Amino acid sequence: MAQELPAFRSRQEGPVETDCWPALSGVELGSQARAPESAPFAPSHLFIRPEKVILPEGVVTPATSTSQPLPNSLVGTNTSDRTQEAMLNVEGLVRGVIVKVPRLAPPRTRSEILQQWEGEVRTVDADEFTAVIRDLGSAHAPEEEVTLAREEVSDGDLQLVQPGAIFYWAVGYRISPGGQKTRTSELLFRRLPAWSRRQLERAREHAREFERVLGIR
Amino acid sequence: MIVDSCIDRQTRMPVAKAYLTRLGVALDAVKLVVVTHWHDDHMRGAAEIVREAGAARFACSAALRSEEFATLLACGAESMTSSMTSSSGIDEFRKILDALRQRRARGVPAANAGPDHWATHGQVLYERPARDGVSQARVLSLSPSAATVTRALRELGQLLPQEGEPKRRIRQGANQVSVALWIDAGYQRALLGSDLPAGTGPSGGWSAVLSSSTRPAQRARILKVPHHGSQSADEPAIWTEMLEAEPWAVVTPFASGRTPLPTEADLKRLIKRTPNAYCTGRPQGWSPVRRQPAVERTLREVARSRRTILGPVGHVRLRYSLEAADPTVELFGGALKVSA
Repeated sequence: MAQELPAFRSRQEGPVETDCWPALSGVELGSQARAPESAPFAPSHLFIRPEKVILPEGVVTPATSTSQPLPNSLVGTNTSDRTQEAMLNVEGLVRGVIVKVPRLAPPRTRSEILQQWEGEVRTVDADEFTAVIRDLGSAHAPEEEVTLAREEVSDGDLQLVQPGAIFYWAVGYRISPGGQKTRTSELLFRRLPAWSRRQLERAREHAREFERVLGIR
Repeated sequence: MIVDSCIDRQTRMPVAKAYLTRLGVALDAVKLVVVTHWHDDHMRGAAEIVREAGAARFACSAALRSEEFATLLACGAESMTSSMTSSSGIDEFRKILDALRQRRARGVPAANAGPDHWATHGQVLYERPARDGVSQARVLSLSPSAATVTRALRELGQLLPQEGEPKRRIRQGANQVSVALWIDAGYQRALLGSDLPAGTGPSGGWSAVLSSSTRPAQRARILKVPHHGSQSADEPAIWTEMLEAEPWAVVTPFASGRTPLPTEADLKRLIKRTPNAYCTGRPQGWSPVRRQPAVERTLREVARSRRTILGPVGHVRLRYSLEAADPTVELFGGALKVSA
């Protein structure tokens, strides 16, 4: 069953008018396939209807100038540094085909995490705070208490540094495209959900049970 | 009896349970479990003890007998937003109530379903008459005072979260609600100081104990030093009015917080009062686990201080006959004698 695939428009490079990939023609229904790494980028016409198409960075918008327009369910997402994915949910057409388009974007900086903790702030002073941290890589590692300078916290998180605040702390490397390693320490504070009226009411209802056990009621 | 609880960081087992198991004593034989207050460092593993010591009576501070505390327990359950908040003393207390509720579900008489004793000053928590050649024994709570219980209601109310506030860990209340205990057994007497502070006015803390008409007239030979030997819990009058000269004093370290306890000054003060002072662990906490070199280098650059909160289990064992002989002292794990 041959169907036309729409052309994909690159925001950076304009319409792409490459022909289909020969390697993908004749793909069976429901199967998955990947384009060869050497395949030319972005076909204007394919004789399959992919369910999922992985596009290189910068390509998110399907052109509408196709002989058979796609349904409205095309969703483009930036899922990683390396690729962008466009999800096609095409009812009644070929499903489960993945077409991988070779990456065009230059390689980016990546991170390597060596150690992660979850922490809870216990005390806060003018320029530092103490926190109890728990090793996220080892459930049996003993909890530790650390004192950290407030300047280690990003400006956007500073107002969150309060007793009881929860944060994540990752220590590792940042690795440049050229392979240069830099040791890093990153603190990320959680935006804890706020107490709602409904939750407080539910807590009060729950408290009635405890009152019975405590013998208050 | 078992007073408060902590856990072995390696086995994750309550230390008191492990100790009794080593002695061949079943938890069923325990007559009384006391949780002196609801701070984390006094409660870890307490629910497991309450659950397994099914025949024991359970006592906790009368300051917790309130709708405010029940609501705080419920809010603690609602605010468990991370693995950190699930390890708090309030969470452990909720587990204790679950254990007590299960007793009720098993048909245990209602008197044993909730706390059997809301401990307050001058209350007998356990009493055994002399019989079969064994001396009488009695456990008496010395605190909290009635005024402290009243004040605690207001304080607990202030700890309750308000609409719009982030769901942080429930803050812990003050130490003044702590239950200090007096134990009589034969000719021996012990004073367990919990975390009761010294100076909270004449109606609270040790001042209230000392001025109470229900305070025992005798003197104790053994002291569990209050609040990790801190200055804030140091009441000189208990040494002159409630303790024998040169008593056996045991202090437990607290490695968390701005200043680990006891400080050097606390230890110096202690050994001025008695040469028989012992500590169950290193007062300044324990070195943290070593990580891989790159992590260690980063930690040295970023963290201004770093220490492990829970060290290896330390144990000071005082054993004595029920006659007037001095106790024998044995030290286990990281326990040590305090010296100048």
